[in-house]
Amino acid sequence: MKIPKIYKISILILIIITLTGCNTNYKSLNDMSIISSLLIDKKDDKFITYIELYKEEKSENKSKKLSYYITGTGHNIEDAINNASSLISKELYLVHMNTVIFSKEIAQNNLEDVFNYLETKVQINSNYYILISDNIKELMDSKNEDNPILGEKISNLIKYSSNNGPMINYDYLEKLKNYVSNKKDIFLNKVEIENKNITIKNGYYFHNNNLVGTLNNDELKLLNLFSNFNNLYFTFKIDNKQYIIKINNCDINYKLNNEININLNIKGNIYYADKGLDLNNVDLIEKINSHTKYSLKRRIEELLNKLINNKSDIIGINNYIYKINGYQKLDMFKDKININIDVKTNKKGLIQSTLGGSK
Amino acid sequence: MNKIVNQIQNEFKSCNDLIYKKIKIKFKTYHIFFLETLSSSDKVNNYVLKGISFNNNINNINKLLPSPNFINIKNKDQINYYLCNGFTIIINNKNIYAVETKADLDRSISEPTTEANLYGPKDGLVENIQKNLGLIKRRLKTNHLKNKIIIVGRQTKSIINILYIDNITDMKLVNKIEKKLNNIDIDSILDAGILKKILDGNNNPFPTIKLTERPDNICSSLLNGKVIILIDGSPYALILPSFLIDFINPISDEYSKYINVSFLKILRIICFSLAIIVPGFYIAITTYNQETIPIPLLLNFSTQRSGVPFPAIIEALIMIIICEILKESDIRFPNNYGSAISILGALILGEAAVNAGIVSPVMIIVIAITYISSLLFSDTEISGAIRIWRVIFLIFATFFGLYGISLALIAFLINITSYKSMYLNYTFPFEPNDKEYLKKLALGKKTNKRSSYLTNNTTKSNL
Repeated sequence: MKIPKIYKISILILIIITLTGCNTNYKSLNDMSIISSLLIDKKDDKFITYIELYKEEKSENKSKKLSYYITGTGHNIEDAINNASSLISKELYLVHMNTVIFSKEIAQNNLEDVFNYLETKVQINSNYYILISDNIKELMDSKNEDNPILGEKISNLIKYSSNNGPMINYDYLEKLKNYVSNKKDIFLNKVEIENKNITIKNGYYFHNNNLVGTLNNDELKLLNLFSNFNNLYFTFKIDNKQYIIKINNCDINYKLNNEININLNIKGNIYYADKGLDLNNVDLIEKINSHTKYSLKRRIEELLNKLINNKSDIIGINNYIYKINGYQKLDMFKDKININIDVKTNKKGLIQSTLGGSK
Repeated sequence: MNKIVNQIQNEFKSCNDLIYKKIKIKFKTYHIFFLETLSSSDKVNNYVLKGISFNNNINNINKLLPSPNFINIKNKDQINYYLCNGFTIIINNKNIYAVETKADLDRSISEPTTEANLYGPKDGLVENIQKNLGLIKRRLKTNHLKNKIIIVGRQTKSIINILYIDNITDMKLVNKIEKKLNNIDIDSILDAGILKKILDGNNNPFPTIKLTERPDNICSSLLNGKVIILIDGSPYALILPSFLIDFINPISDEYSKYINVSFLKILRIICFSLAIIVPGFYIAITTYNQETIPIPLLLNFSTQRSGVPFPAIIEALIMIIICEILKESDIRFPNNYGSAISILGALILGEAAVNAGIVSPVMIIVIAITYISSLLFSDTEISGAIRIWRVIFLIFATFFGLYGISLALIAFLINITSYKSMYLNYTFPFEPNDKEYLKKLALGKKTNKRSSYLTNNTTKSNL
């Protein structure tokens, strides 16, 4: 039997409308309140959410992007956010959210609640940052004319200065992946106010989603080295004189026998050297290379010991081991780890051997 | 009195322009008929009346009258046809002659108005089919250029010429067109547009026949293996088959350097897409897929839309309708009023509508981009097709966002790729892909080959 064309088209349109579910997402721009950051705290066993919302102020021909907060409390995060949103006549729009910041108390006791909330929201961006703050209130009050939007300020700080700073530039999706898979433990940066400025330094690391310790800035830089971030700056001392190595590239490979061998192939420049360090001297360059190698090895070993003591694998070593040799099970917490580093440095912009430097 | 004379007088009883003269020379009587509205009085006087009156001994009238077109009519039913075509009829006993004494009713050759170009020939077709044929034959000096004549129209008896180059054009195409024309049963063909409507009789808004008034365009099409139809009384010729790309690119591209033209050709294809998609895309991203808009822009959009009481789709429709009204009034109004309309339109769209809170400034930008892009295409049929698909995209975007845009795009591609111009694919040379022709049409590159899709004679030197 031949089906008339009009029936075919009607069936097609009906399927499109009823089975795709896309027609329920209609949102008018007028009815949306765009969230810049979500801050979560806990007091008297109740969650308090501070939601930073964008607003635009027009004066004469100029318009300025500003923000304001709405606050809500509740027995869970969803409840607190709903209570906050009841204060405005618009729908909260999470897609352009820059940051989620919560207190240390939440990190210790309610990390699961936060991740569950973020996971269940369909209309949510995947590249915002999650941070911990010891003082949420102080952070909220840090807004000024130069930085009128907290979420954007923090997000930009991470995006544009994570290479030479202690920030770990992992977005929400990466953290969620670690949270769900347990292949790698979570690390969260700490945001605080220092001399009235927002700074991101130090951080908390977790084991099985439980907060187990803190890392300082130097340790965080080493963590960035393992994440293959380029342009990392490390300061060293030789003969009581300082020099800075800018690491351009770090290749890491794992070799497994009965022990775990981690080989780091580092290429960098001597970015800065104190007076008295003659960089045209090839011997000195060799000395700097071996000193850098030794110092970095010592620092990495110290970091690994700290992590092993707290049973936290924020680098993902065990995951690498599993990827390389899944059945011959080695464990970073049980087996010996050897760090082998090879460092090659040049004077900034020059290759010393071709310059005819003095021996 | 002669029976035929009576018959003519009866048939043209209430036609005041029929002039009848009776000349008696010796024992012979000549009945002369002509229509003064169609015939030149000077020509009738100089070539016919003087010729007959001043010769006492007329043995062979054919040699006596110095007209280039002298016809001995055997069938008296043809008298009407010749009279209505400006001929003078001479009747002597049972002999009927027709002498061409047409008046010059047509205008002189002038510059094309609908296909104006900076470079290229400045002559355009006129209402006289003979002049038009002359303009074409002046350019194509070959005996391979053939024309078949078909007369269509019960009342108008319009002369239709099918032009083709016999060693280039696929005869299957010529025969198909001829068959279609022979099947036409209509009272009148007053213009090429009517014939185009009849030949292009399907529900798809995209045109498959191009109207042109440029002889250079006609010649170029003939040389590519296409067929041209000329109609007496119309300053336009029909090019068959025409593909989508023919409506996007003008002939003047052939007169500029390839490297400069390539950019313009690509730009035109982009504009074609913009003219269809932009309003729908804007609706989709502002009502469903806000995540695709960067935050500074989203805030801007939000602030601008804050005072507008209508949903974005209504806002878009208002603007589209206003623009269509402006466009139509601009075409219909005399040129002198054109600037006034433009100023009025700019004021309404630019200032008043925004201040009144009817539309947001960004919607004006969206619609302006759409209309500026669509103004690149001078053919009204292609503009109409763009308009229809623009609304389809808009409706799909209103219900489904970017997903709807994808659906509409799929529907558009299915529609356009399955569409035929005569029996050839409308999306040629993209689908079926012809690299040589694509280089020429889409990029403006020179090629020594004709498309094998249009003709079997692909080598250009074989003309």
